[in-house]
Amino acid sequence: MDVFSGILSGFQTVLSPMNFVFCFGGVLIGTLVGVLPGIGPVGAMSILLPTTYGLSPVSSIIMLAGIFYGAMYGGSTTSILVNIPGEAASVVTCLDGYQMARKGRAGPALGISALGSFIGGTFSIFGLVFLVFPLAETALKLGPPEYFSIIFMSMIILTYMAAGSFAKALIMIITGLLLGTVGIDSVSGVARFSFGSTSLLDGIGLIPAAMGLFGISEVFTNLEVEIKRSVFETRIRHLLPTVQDWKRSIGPVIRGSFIGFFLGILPGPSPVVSSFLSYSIEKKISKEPETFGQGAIEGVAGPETANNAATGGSFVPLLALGIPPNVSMGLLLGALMIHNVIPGPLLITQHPDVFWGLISSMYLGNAMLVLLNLPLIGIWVKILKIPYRLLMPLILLCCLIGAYSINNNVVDVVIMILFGIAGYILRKLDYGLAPLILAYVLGPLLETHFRTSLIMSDGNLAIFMQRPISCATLGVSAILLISTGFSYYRQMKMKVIQ
Amino acid sequence: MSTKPAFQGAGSDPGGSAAQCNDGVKHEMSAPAHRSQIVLTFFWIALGLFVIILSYGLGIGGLSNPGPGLMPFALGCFLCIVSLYFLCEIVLKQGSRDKDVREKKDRTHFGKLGLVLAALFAYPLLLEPLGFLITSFSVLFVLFRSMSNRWFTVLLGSLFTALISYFLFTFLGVQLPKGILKGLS
Repeated sequence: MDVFSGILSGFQTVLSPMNFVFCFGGVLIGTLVGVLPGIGPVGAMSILLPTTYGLSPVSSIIMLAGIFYGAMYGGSTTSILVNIPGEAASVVTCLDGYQMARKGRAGPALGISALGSFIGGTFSIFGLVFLVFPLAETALKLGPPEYFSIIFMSMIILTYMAAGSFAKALIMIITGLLLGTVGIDSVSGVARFSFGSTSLLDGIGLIPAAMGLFGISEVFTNLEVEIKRSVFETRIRHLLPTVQDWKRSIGPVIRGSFIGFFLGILPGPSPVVSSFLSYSIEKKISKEPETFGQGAIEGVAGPETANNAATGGSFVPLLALGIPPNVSMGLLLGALMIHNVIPGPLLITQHPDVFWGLISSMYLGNAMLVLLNLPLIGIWVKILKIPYRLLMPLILLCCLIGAYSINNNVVDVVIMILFGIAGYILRKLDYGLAPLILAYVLGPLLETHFRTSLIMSDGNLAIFMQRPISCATLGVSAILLISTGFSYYRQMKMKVIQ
Repeated sequence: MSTKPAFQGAGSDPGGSAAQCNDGVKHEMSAPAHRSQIVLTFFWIALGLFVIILSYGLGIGGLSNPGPGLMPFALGCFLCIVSLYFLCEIVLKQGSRDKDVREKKDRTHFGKLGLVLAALFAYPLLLEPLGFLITSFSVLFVLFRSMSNRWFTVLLGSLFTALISYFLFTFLGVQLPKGILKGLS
């Protein structure tokens, strides 16, 4: 199937009334969780994942993906109007977006962030379509050693991107990998670390774990800080940016699209990282860097475009290789696996409806989001005024029902609460939770490929170095690891000397 | 603004954030307490050792015949090594820390947190015997009550929320236990 007829058939799938409703529902929920600070896209996706069991694989992935990219739109609204990022990827939008709002230019700020998001989102879908085919074709030639090396490199890039403390990120990854070993070993059939519990034989569920770490623990953290939200009472006028605004924004938007898309392919919190990178690049090349932080429209246009472009980019490794680069993609992988659809190089040929349906739904979803976020901005401003004391019990109830509905089993609810407590403690002590859950998703894949490679080579570790792609990937990982370790060592030395 | 510290602030909280941001870098909610960091690091070391012992029992096998315990064994070893290194780092850092830096006062509302936790744990215990409606209503009542003092509003709010969520999730195809209200339907 060529690209054109593929997209056409995709639109046929999406425009069926059922899928249309799920696409709309997804982006609506996405915008909602983007606007509400108490819960992020990962929490919302994991709560709703069990309700997609009864749907077709196309409908469920269309809706879940809609939550993921819809949240990027919603997040900017709170950053601009309240100076509180709705989710982490719009933290940087606070800098200039809020200043623009204070100067009475909330309208253009919201307008450029929605339109920039749309451009970035659309660009990344084009990029995705053109990159996924050659990559999937190459991926067909990859064997277990190459897969092992690529997943290994993902882990290294995760620690590299997570910054903060190198050791903490490593500890989180190792713990995540260990959590992935719980349950029956797929190669030997031996039960590992299940401690006699039948519920643990299938392993620790991804959904209760993600819900606990990103839903419950978020609520616990918010319990102790009074969230004060003062929304701008002024009427929002002139949503469409002027010609002058466009002249200043077009460069940042184009650069943001590229930065976002290519960073999106890499493992890690790419929407977050790309928005920061876009901001610092715009500031660096600007003729008037002193206006940044005072309400420069470039500081809104670039990052907002970049974080949306990153969402499209992050579908590339999932769809072409079956390797999720971030937690949201990990949840999508889980959702597809439930329907026995395995993402990877064979997805396009085996399930063209899922692949093209998803791509087309992203075009449609982005268009819906512009409509939802510009003319209907007033509704979201009203929703912002809902006090947290009303939201908190609702979020918790959704988590409880969501966890129970996975298997109609209360054990999942207990697991979720325990992960919530663990997540709360880890958050308090500045551990990043994303590497933990991503390593947990990738762990079983990593282990299976490692062991199959060893069986292939009859126990010779050199197999990883004898195959060119595997050798090159491991080489890059080694360079990253050494450079991180070295800069870390230097920092430590400086600190000790001081 | 350099990108490095910005990454640190955002990367630590990918799930969403409620912290006020004034300068782009998300502020930590409380200064990491060194004692808790050390306690947690000891926990990692203990976990590593525990995993090493258990995976040895599972059978490590050899390189040509990797057993089910091989990967956990290796991970356990790595965990111990990284945690030991991290422990040294924390201890060294503590020595070089500026004494003028006062740690922010911990504002954890332990009472509220305890109440919410108790309500959460009560939920899976009561769900199947009492049924969805009664359990959800009671748990919501406790949760809303922990946030507000208006009895009547809390009562009505919990009742309506329980009913609406029951119909919504049943509509979405979720099977919720009826419990002691089974005879009514």
